Parts: sequence; structure tokens; C-alpha cells
Amino acid sequence: MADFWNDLVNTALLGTDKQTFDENLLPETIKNSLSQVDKKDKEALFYKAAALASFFKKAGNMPEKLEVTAGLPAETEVLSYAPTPVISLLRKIFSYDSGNYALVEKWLDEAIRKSWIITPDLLLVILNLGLDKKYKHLQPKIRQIAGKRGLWMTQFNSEWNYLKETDYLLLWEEGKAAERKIALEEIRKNNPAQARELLEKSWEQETAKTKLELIAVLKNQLSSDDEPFLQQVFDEIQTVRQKKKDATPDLLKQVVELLLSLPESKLSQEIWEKVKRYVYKTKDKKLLGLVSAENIAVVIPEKGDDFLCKETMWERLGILEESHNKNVYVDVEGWLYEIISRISPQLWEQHLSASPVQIMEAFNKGDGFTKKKDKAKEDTIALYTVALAQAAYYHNNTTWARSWLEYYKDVYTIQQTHVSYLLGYLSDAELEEFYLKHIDLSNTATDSQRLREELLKRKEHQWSFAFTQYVVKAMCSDLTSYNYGNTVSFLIESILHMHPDIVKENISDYMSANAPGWVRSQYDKTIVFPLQEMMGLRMELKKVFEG
Amino acid sequence: MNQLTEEQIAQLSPDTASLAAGKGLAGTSKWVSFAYNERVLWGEIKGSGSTPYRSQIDLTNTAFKCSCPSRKFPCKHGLGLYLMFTRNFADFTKTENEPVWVKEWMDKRASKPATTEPKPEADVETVAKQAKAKEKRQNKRLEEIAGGVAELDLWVKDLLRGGLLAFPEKGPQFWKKTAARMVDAKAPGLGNMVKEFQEINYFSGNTWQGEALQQATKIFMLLEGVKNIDALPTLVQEDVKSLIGISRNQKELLEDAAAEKIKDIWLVLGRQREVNDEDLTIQRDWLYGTQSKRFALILNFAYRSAPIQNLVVPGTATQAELVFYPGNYPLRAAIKMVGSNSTQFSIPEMFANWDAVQEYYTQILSKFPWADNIPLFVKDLLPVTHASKWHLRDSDGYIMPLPADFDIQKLYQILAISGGASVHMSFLRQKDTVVPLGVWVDGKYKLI
Repeated sequence: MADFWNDLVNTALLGTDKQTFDENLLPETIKNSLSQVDKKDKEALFYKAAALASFFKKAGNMPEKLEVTAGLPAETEVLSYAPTPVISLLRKIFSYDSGNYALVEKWLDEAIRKSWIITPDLLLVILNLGLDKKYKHLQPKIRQIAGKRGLWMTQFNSEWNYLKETDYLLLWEEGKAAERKIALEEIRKNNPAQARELLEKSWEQETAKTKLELIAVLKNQLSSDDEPFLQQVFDEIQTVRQKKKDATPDLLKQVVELLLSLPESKLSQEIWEKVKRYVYKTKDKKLLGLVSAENIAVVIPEKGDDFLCKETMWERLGILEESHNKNVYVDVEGWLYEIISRISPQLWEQHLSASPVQIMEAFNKGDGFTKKKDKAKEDTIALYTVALAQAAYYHNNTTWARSWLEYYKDVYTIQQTHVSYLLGYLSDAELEEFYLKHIDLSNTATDSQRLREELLKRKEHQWSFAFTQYVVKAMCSDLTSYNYGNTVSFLIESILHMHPDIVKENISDYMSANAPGWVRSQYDKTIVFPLQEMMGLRMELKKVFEG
Repeated sequence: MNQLTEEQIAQLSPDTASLAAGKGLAGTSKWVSFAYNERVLWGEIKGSGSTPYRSQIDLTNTAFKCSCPSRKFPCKHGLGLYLMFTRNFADFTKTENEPVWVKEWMDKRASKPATTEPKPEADVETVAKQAKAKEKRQNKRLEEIAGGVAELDLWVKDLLRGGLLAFPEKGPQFWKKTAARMVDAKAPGLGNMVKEFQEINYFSGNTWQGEALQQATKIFMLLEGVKNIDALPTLVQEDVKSLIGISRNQKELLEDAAAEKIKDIWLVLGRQREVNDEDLTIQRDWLYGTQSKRFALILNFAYRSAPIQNLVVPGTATQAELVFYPGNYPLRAAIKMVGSNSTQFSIPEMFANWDAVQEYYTQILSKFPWADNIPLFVKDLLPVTHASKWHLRDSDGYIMPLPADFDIQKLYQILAISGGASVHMSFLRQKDTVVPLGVWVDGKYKLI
């Protein structure tokens, strides 16, 4: 129908200088209308023809009929929509620009608990929320509140496929590297043996990079059942490294770590036999030999031996090539540190027939050395004590973790040893007590960032009023342009933990007396008011879900 | 009392920065005092001055007043107060005991209509004199424009002579230069039409050739209209003048006794806002008169951060008197008087299908061939994909495409709220595509 229009377009493309338009190709009606037009000006004539043709086409251009049927509408929901006040609250939470994800998550948790789903008008917002890097971890929860309509929406945007049940076996077979890792992690969660078998089957075909990433998945639910496979990988690497010494050091280290996590493994046993030689009991005669006292000696071969040597520690085990900081500790000390941190602390108890505290004391008092002898003892021993803390965490030994904190809190500043991971072994009440007594959370204190994060890991921990005051006060001291943003984010993130009465306090007084002028002018707007708003939302959240 | 939704309040914001700032002030802890009654909402907030700012909102006619020095209108305090009212309604105290500063403002508003009171009608002699003076002014302007028209006539013919194939290689400066010359020639409307060549996507698909020819033809037609203006019917003359940029002064229009006026309850179907490359904000409000069954376009402009006075709220039904700019297809209007608004309104009568729309569209084209944005309603439309593009399918299975650059998130929102069921929809017919403005779901109008 519109061929005449295409002819006009083609002529226009080439230009009237090169191509003349044939009027006879136009429909009769247009031709008749053009008959009265002056034809001397060929461009004017062409434009008039084009104008008539354009309207002729527009007026007669009927919409296209789509023969195929449209897709099926979304299925009727089985679950109930969240009631209006609950939805209104979510809108309010979303309307705050930043730092509200703790409240969003809480909202999701409560809605899931009530078996409610999101209303269609907020569905798109929540689906897109799951794509936001900051909220990606909420995807499993979003899946539960998106309802059948959410699932129906996935056909329009594959990014929302996180709502669908994933066939992890298929993803493992056909997915990209990152997807395969996720698939293996999921399979490992529910069926550790199946995950290991899948990895074993595909091992030969994996690249060095994927081998490293995938074998790390076995950390979860690691058991002695995994040892044969890990040992096989270990042996293979030994063969390869004999030919090429710098091959796969990261993979080797990873496999060794996994094997050492299993105290009964062949490698663990072998290493223990070697290492226990350096720590043993002695009897010291006192009072002219009338009394003998038992001591624990930590004796390290200064120049190393057949075990504490590069050939074993690096070439065979891939643990450490040499000291990272030879001014503080020499190679031998570095190797021993790495080994101690991977050995089950329970083995020391059995070997020395001593309590954790006695063993720690021994490590703390024992002889150490570095190139700088003056500093040596303290640094070296501190090094091994941290290794014992790591070992407690590595082997998930609650007794040792708690003993470590109990013993060392008065010996060293916890913040200097970077062992915040051990705080997870304390109860909520103990944790508060520990922080109040031993931890400086202020912005300028060592390791304070990690120690704050530790607090947020306990999702259900409701801080006491005193503890809330302590945290807010610490956070609001020493505010600078470098830490202001982080401080605000942390306080907002902590809103679910804080005691509600904190907003009744005059938080403005918590600011340091020497705070710079710009902090003074921003403080209420960016710290006090948001805290009050967020607390208000938290209280409303409680109310609407209870109501 | 009329309570707007957050989306509707957001539409009142002069810019995104004001809205963001307003959101930041929408918490009860930030306000020294706040209260409301059926007609007004007010609050005091601490600002940089020694006394708190006093912010108030006429809830019936949606008007703002604040004692802060901001040039934005409404300011962040007004937006914050209104948002807070929507979010934290339960925290507000209802009281008839208005502070003096609130009462004074509201009483003053109640004593006069929301917009300029028309002057008393002039006598016949004065009206005739004014009309003659106006005609003289316009003729003088047309004479001034004649040079630009002749230049553009040559230019558009040269384009055709050389061929459209060269268009993709012509950079933006080529179009801008000619557009600027038209502005110098006091024909900014022609300049805008030239600039529209820039908006064609020359590097994707095979539709640019036809679009470029249509645009050149549209300019040529207008130039022919200017050259032959005396031979055209009066209303078409008005259209031509308006298109080339000789638009009627809004104040004059509102005072013109002969101008077409319609008092009605107007559904505000949607708002579009764009900022052009000269930093000019162009705001279009699309309205539909529930009794007159007329569509209207309210155009507002602002340079840089200058405020735009928003007399209507998208997604509401507003009592108002509109004065239409004269034309053969009168669509653009100015607001003479605005009354209360409501978020409750019934579904208007709609076209049944695309066939009916096409018939209506053809009628409009016969009256106003340059029509490029025509507001419409159609019943039971369903978003569907066809040939990898999104379309709206009517109940008979006919489809109309959405523009290629239509915001996909808006389409997802339609799908999310409709769940794949067909919905009544308002939209703009733009060239061969349709741009949704809003949908009716469960009897409620939702802006897109």
C-alpha cells in the first residue's frame, strides 16, 4: 500500500538532482490534487507530493493485527497481600535515600513470617531491589514475598530469574564459572557427598583458576569423607611441583588447609608428629633439688630443620615461602606460626596434659627469637598467641576461643591482635561486657571497623541501653571527613539493635567538644534526625506487624 | 480534604534536588510544630535563620506558601511537609484553631480565585482597538519573519536537491546553526522544527529515511502556510502563527473575552518534563474534561532553576476553567481559574479499539496536519511483544507500537500492576507510536 511512499523516500535519499520522481506512481487521488500545482519548481512539487502522500498514508494506515495470542496472565495469588498499613510502611522505608536495608530486611522477615506477599504496585520496586548490589543478599527473601505475579514477571526480564527455583545440577553442568561455583555451594549445603563427587568428576577438565575457587567450596561441611579426594589432589600437585616448582601454589595451600582442618587426616597426623617436638614438658629443680616444678618449653631450632625449612613449608605444603617481614620475625618463626595456626589446639592439651591457659602461658613466656633480639621475645610470642587464636577459630574450638579471650584480654590489647573473629564465641551479654571493658570503638581506635562489624553479625542481639549509649558515644567521637560517612551508615545499620530509648537521649551531647564546625552544622541533620526517623520506623514496623 | 499520594507530591516538585531535599525533611522530628484541618496543612521548621520557617499548604486547591527565602516553588519545606503528612498522617493533630499566619493566608486565598482576576470587560471600541493593534503587531512580526522563511525555504529545498543520504554525516552543529538563524529571524518555532532533525536516530534501524523526509515535508508545509497565510482560514492562520513561534501572550489570552473557555472537572492524565539543550525546562500537563470531553495541554516553561507554578496535580481530578489558544484543533490551554482537586474520579468514556482511534486521529490530521502529540484513551489494552518490540494490543487483536526509547521500567510497572490482564489506558499518540500516561486498575488511575 505504501510503495508510493517508499518511492518518494528513495528519490529523496538520492536527491532531486540525481533522480526525478515519477508522479504516475502516486495514487490517483494524490495525482489529481497535484494536477493544479506549478511544476516548474521540482523540489516544491516533490514536497507537496510528499505532504499529500504522508497524510494519505497516515490517514489510511490501519494498525497491524497480531495473530498470535498473548501470554497467559499471572496466576491468582494463593497467599494474601500485606495489608495497607504494612505496605505504606514499606513505602516510607523506601523513601529514605540510604541506609535502610536493615529495616527492609526486617520488613521482609516479618512479612514472610505472616505469609504475606507484596502488592502489585510495589512489586517492580522490590524485584529491582534484589538486583541492587547492596540488597542482593535479600533475593531468597524477596522470592518468598513476590508471589505468583513476581514469578510471572520473570518472563519479561531474565535478571529477575532469581525468583525461580534453580536447578543447581543443571547450573553446575551448563553455567558459567561463577554460576557453577554458586551451584556447587548450594549442592554442598544439602548434599556434601554429591558436591564432592561432582567436583571429583569434573576435576580434570577444570582450569587452574576454577580448581582453586571450587575446591574452596568443600570448606563447608568438611569431613573425613573428603580426605581421599583432597589427598589425591595433594599428591597430584606434588608430582606437578616436582617438575615445575612454582606451579599452583595457591591451590596447594588451599588443599593443605583443608586437609589440616581434618585433625585425623594423614597430613595432619604427619605434621603433628613433627611439630610437637618443639613444645614439651620439662621439670625444673628448685630449692636445692628438693622440689621440682613442671614447665612447658617452646624450643624452636633457630636455623630450622628438616621440617621447618623452605623445601617442606613452601615446596611441599605451599604454606609460606619466607617471612613477610624479616625485621619482626624470621622465616623459621613465620613457618611455625603458620603451622600452629592450623593445628587443632586440642592436640596441645593432650600432648602436654595441660589446660588451655597453661599452654597459652607457656607460649607467652617461652623463648623466641628474631633478628632483632631486643624486640624478639615479645613479638615472637605475641605472634604464636595469635596463631593459637587462629587455630581455635580454624578448628571451631569454643573452649579454646573463650579461654583465649579470657586469658589475653588482660595480657594484650585485643585490638592490637586483630582477633575480633573470636568474639563470636561469646554470648550476647558477655560480648557487651567484653566490649564495655576492653574495646575502644571510636573511629580512630585500631581495628574498630572490624569490631563494629562483629556487632552487626548478631542479627537478633538487642543491645542494652548502656551498650547502645556506649556504641553511639564511641561512634560520635572523633568525627572527621574521612569517617563521617561510615559512622552515619553504621548507626543507621544498627537501628534494629539499638535500645529504643536512645532517641530520647540528647544525642547532640555525644559529639566531641572539639568537633569541627562542619560536623556541628551537619550533626543533627545527618545523625540525630535520621536515627530518630529510623527508630520511629522500627517502632512502627513492630506495631503494624503485631496489629 | 484531599490527600495526595507520594507519587503525586513528587510530581509537584520543581526538580529532583528539591524532591530529595523535601524527602529529607519529611520526618516529624525535624518539625517544631505541625497540624492540619480540612482546608489547610501547616508546620514550622527550624532553618538557618533565628526563627523557624513557616510552611503551609492549601489542601483544597493544592497551593504552597513558605517563609523561607528559596526561589524554588514549592520549596523543599513545602514538599517535606506534604510528604510527611502523607507518610505520618496519624502523627498530625487535626485542629480548627489555625495560627494567625495560616488563617490570614487562607482567608486571603478564599476571598479571591486561584489565578488572576479578569479585568472588567472593555467596551466594544476598546476591544476593536486592541484587536487592530494586535493584528498590526503580528503583521509586523510576519514581515520580520519573511526573511527567515525565504532562507529556510531555500535551505529545505537544497536538502532535497542534495539528497537525504548525507543526513547521517551531518553533525548536530549543522542543524543547530540553521535553527539559530531562525531564532535570529524571530521564528523560533521554525528553529525548533529544524532541531527535530537531531532527534532522529540515523544509526539504528531503517526508519530514519522516512522520518527525515516527513520532517522536511512538515517544515516545507509550514513555510507554504506562512507564505500563503492570508489565504488560509482564520483558525488555521492561528495554527501557523503559533507553529512558527508567534504565540499569544498568556495574559492577553486570559483576558480575551472572545477566547474559548471551558469550566470543567479536568482529569490530569500525566505530566512530562524535559530540559532542552538551552537549559529550558518544558513541562506538559495533559488534561481531559470529564463533561466537555475535551483534551487540553497546559504548557509551562522555566529557564534553569526558575520555578514552574503547578496549578494542577497529575493523577487528580481538578475543577478548573481553561482558556484555549485559538486554533483549528485547539489543544493548548491556559488555566484561568483552578478550584479543588480530588483523587477520586470515575473512568471516562473511552475509545473501544485502535480502529476508533485511527478514525479520530484522521479527523484531527484533517484539521491540524502538524499534530504530533494527541492524548487519547483506549479500553482493554494489553502490552505484548511482537517482532522484538513492545506494543499495546486492543481487544480485537490490533496492535500499536510503543516508541523504541520508551522507558522499559514504566512498561514493567504496567505489567506488574496489571498482571497480564488488559487495562484501560491513557496515552499520547506520537507519530506512529503510543506513549502511555496512566492506567486504570481496579477503578483507580495510576500514573505511569
